[in-house]
Amino acid sequence: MRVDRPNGEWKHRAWWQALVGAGLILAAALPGIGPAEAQAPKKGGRAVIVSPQEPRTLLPHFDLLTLSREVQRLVFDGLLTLDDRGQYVARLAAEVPTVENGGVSTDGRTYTFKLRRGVKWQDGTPFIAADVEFTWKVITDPKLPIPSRIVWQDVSRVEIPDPHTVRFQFAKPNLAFLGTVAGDRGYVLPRHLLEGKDLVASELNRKPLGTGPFLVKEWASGSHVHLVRNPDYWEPGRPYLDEILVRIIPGTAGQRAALQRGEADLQLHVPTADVAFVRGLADYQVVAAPSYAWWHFWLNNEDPILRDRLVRQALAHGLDRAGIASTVMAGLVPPLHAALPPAHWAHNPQVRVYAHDPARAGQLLDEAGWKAGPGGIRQKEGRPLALEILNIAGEAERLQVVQVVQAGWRQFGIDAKIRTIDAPAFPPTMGKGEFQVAYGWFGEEPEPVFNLWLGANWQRYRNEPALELLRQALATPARAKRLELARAFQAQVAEDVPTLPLAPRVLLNAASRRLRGYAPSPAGSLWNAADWWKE
Amino acid sequence: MLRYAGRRVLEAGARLFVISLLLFLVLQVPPGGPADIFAADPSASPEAVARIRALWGLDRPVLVQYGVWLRRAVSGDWGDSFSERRPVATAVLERVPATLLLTGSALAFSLGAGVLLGTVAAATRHRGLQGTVQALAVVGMSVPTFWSGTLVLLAFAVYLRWLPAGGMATIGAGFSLGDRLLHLLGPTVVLGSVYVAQWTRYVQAGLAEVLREDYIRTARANGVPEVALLLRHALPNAAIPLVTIVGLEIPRLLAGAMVTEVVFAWPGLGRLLTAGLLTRDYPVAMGVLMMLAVAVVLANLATDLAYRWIDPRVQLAGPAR
Repeated sequence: MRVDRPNGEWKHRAWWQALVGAGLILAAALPGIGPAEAQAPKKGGRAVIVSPQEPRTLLPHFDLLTLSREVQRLVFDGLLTLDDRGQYVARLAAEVPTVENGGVSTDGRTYTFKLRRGVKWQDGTPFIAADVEFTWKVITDPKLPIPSRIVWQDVSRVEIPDPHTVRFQFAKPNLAFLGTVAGDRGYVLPRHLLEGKDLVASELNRKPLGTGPFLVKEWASGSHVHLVRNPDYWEPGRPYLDEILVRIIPGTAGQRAALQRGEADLQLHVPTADVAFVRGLADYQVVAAPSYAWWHFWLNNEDPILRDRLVRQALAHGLDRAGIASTVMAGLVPPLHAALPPAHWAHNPQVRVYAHDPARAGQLLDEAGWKAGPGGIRQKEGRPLALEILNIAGEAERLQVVQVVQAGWRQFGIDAKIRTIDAPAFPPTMGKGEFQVAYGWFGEEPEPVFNLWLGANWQRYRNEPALELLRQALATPARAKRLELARAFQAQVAEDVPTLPLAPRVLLNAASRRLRGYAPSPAGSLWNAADWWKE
Repeated sequence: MLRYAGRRVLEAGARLFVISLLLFLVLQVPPGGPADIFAADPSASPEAVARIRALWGLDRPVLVQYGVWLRRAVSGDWGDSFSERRPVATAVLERVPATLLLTGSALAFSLGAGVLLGTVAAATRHRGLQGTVQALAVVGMSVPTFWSGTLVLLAFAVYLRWLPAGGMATIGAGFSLGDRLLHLLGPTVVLGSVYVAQWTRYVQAGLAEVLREDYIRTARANGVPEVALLLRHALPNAAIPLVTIVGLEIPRLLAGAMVTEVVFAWPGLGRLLTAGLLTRDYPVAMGVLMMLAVAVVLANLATDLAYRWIDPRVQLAGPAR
């Protein structure tokens, strides 16, 4: 502002500045006169998290167990994270790279991250770009038992122009990178502690060291993981909590007892059957964590019976999605007809819907040559229409769903049997194609990679023109075009019925009303534990 | 004696070798291996899983894998856990104290209760009392621990708040004997109640037989009071076979008690073994099972040698054990 301007203009400016000044003073005074909701977070205290599972390792990238990755989030940061609305938030990066700010090249092949300054590892060493490059090297190292390298392995080159900038180059446009970086497979490892060492045997598996808001004080196997506040966390004033205690309580009786005694602030993975119980507790509420996962039935498209599309469509008509969602899943989710859940931006809400119609299912089977046979079971060329539904043991809800479906299909002449196996037996059985129908869940990344169709493809769906849509979608930088291709694929898949989508999969948690700031995101429950506080 | 001992030790070694081979082979029977705990995750790829399988040597022939395990085992290396990324010995031995505490307390409790109930049942003429004691014992044996454990938890930890709701100790509160005992009480009673029945029956049967002996009648005729008769004359004699049986029970303490450990969130070997089996963590499963096998074989060996030492008439060509 220059004093020697003509009088009129100066006065105008002074008025404007006075107004802004008054506004600022008012804004500073507001917290004192605002509603009770705008309470200042209280510092200190301990949050107790009850979990049925135990982490297997606290060093990122070596394990895919949800709980391992959740607890790792307390100790490690990624360049980005995802908030409860599915938006990217900068963590170790100073800002989210976009096309507008030049962080993402227009052809989708170059990602440049400017790193946050002043970040330190929990042993005081400064965090630098070389740590990010080291992390990428670890993830793509063929000599390390890393269970998932997707997207990371497509990086052709990493450049470090200066200690606070990292640039990733891809040979082909890659749209999934930000999602990967923001998720559980994006945590950054400390180069100065791990380079040249045996990572598998490293003591960081049990006593990890990251840049995150909490430090592991003690991990008593089978009992608990005790974390304490990182006093030098890069976000000033955070975390509010002094401690987090993750208690491992494997039995539902013990979990319920912890809630009833008010000893837990958060319980992860509440089974659907316990929802009514939690709702009956005055101090707790059920919070559904948003996720990009869904429940479905894999169909073996190479099975002699299921090879016929009419049979698959009949199975779809015989599936009472709405009924199952409202009963077994306690009405917490709507029925799903598309190959992606509604929470995901690429979901197609307009696909063909197979209404629950056993009569129509029967008609389709008649058309396919499966006529009524002895005992109410259809048969064709002397063979009965018998199907085996593969189920994974351990969750009552899964068995209930499969039993409802079995009974439903029986109504129009399908003799369905349930075979239950345990979790490690599932992938090899599916991989070898030793199944007809299998129940389970699958998930998608924030930026789709379509691993269900282009990866293991247990359903053996071979419609090449349809799969080509997906490959094109992966190579197209423009989001609108990608959405179009993804939607076209979902429409095609709704016609071909290689799988039977059932309902979105939500992870339920029981949160104490005393715990403030808890807002689960697709990046998990603990993504913002630094912002939690207790009343 | 030395020849006998030497022969028995060799036999024990051979037995352990055969047990280890059988266990290893049986563990391979269910489909899926340690790498398959990743394979169902939506972000896993078949190539990554196959690479892990190769890195962990799981694609080699089973007998080769067994050979590797055996070579390490005889040199004292239990191998590394696939899930926990640390030596199996650390993972297993860490849980031994907690396990022994639980199962040892349960054994002590069940023995105490069993001796008490068995003595009462044997000493009384009252048919009703006898029946009640036997019924109690059978109930304890029949009620599954997940049910009785849940009831105990609900009644004493939730409603009455007399007991904590699981775990070994109040976390972060420092060591306190009282706190530890309170945490131990629930699971001990629940687990012990299952075994009370067998001890009651042993003691009752043994006592009933001893009480029919001549020297008891003589002592009674000499005016020895009934209680002293029971405790000083009858019970010690009835207890001899009991001691042998209890001695052989002791290795079983290491097996832990999976269901009780789950209900009370007790960090014991039962849970470790189950988790190891459910994640196909072969080194951990072998570690726990072989530790148990060694304990049982050693206990039997010790008993054999003790018998021979007490009664030199015991020969090598005795009845098969």
